[in-house]
Amino acid sequence: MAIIEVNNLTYRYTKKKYALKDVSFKIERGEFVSIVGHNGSGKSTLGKLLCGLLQTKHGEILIDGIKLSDDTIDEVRQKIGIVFQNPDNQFVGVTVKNDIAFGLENRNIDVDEMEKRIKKYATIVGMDEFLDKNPENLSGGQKQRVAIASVLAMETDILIFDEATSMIDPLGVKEVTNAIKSLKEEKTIIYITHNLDETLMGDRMIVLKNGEIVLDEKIDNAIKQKDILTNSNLEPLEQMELIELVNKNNLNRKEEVEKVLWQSAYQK
Amino acid sequence: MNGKIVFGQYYNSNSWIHRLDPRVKLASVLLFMICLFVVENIYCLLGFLGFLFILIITSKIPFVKFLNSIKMMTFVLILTFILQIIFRNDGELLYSFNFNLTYLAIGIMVALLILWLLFSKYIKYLKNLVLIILVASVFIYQYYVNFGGLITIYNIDIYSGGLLMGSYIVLRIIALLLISSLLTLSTTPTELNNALEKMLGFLKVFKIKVSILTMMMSIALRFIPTLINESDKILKAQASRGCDFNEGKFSERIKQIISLIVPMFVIAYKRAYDLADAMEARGYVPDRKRSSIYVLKYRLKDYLVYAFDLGLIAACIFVKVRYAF
Ligand SMILES: Nc1ncnc2c1ncn2[C@@H]1O[C@H](COP(=O)(O)OP(=O)(O)OP(=O)(O)O)[C@@H](O)[C@H]1O
Ligand SMILES: [Mg+2]
Repeated sequence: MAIIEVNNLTYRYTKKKYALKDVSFKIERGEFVSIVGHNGSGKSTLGKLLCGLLQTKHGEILIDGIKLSDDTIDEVRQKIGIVFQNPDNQFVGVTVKNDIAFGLENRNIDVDEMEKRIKKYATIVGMDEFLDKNPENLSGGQKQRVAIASVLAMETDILIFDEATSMIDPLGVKEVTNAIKSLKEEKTIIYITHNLDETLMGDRMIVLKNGEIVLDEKIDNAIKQKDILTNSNLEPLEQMELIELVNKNNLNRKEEVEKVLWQSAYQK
Repeated sequence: MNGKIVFGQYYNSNSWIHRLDPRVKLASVLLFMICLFVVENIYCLLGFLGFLFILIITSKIPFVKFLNSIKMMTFVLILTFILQIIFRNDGELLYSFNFNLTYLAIGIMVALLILWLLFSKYIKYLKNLVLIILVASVFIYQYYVNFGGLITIYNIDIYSGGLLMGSYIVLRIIALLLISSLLTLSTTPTELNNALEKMLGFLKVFKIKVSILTMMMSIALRFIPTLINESDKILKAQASRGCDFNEGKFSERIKQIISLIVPMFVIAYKRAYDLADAMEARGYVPDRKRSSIYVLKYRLKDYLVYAFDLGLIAACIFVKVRYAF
């Protein structure tokens, strides 16, 4: 049974414009699915719908077989956690420890268990030395790793990352993506991004355009659909362009390849 | 505003006072304040102050930190003292000063006032002291000089009662300032908030949702440094466009302040919106039972402090009853 099943999901913030339009897909347990799309394509809306922050009557969402609704929302939130884009806006606690504890306190988990989990998950994201620090004094990457630890500590099966790396510096991005990769084995991951490079971490890619799914394939196939990707206002992978260049000029000797590659580099 | 805001005065020197249970500290400080108002005996007050100094010394917090809070109140303290001296006339007459109010003296006062208004913004250090010296010199002048068109002679009488009451009130305010500083210097805002949550638990009986109140408090605490950073950024941005927040006419300053407040609200709104989502996603439901990572547990020394508190209030009541009649 699929761990996530979305059927004919439609959502509008305002009467006129659809943020999501008739979206359906299934995600199996343990899959790592990237959701890409241009600005305003509905990625965040989908993420919020999946964890019940937004609700709609149009279409249904099944998490681990449970239909998402007001009555089941508590149960579903035990299975799904989300990390948002802006690291500053998801800190609740005044210290790292405090923040990781927040979700656990909400579940009424006792102190010993809390301490254990805080230690464990802070170590997993490499923030165990910062437990008593004020998040205000951490770098973007560190903050985002704390946010991940906070969600991990709740021990949900599914993790959603909504552009979790888009507001931090390149070094921080590396820290965060490494932390996410290390979770691949145990969790079902939905990774929302507008950067095709990052989708390579995943097994599968779903492309959203103006609230509709225009592509849903295994990553190695999907990444080659240049037309669909450029049509969806996504920047194709550099590697794709280079391969195309090599093919187009019918190159096979090393010197030729080098020459053309340099030419194209200067043209940019 | 640049960098002047110091948020949370907490000074960690890890003394026995720092390690006390915050509930004990909060309760004791409240009790101490009540005692300060109950006793009306200058010797008891001096005793309290002596006791406070012992606490301050054992807290290992530099005394300068305490002086800062008193410094902010200097003006109020001096004013209270002077008003008490001038207007109370019980006890015995100690001194009587005759002052000559002359046209020349009024002229000098006006001139000094104008000078003050013009130049005070260039005085960087000890501004209050300069002001006090100026005011004092006006009175000294009136005491010694009697030419220049005498209008009237007035006198200020200093009675022992006024002196006593003045110093009594000033000492009491100082004691209040010291004890509250001791609390905030030795306890983090979060600890205080937790103590409040536990201590106000009884309000549940009256259907007051304490957990929501303290959650609001802790979010406010969490947001303050963020907003300070944010306002700093905006100020810098405005400054780079040639907008100086310390200069300009009143109407300009109002405009400048609005140019700070509006973006601040926009940012705060966006943050609040996001944070609400983050909290909900992590399972926060207002007023549902939650556990707490802070376990407050009384230890022996906490009980000892409570016992001491009881002794103190008993002694105060005793003194009050005994010497009232
Ligand atoms: N709170 C809201 N109120 C009204 N309209 C909204 C709201 N949030 C999003 N929208 C609109 O819904 C559409 C989808 O927005 P969404 O945030 O899901 O896009 P996104 O793919 O996450 O974009 P981005 O890459 O900018 O994060 C957009 O047209 C957006 O303007
Ligand atoms: Mg988004």
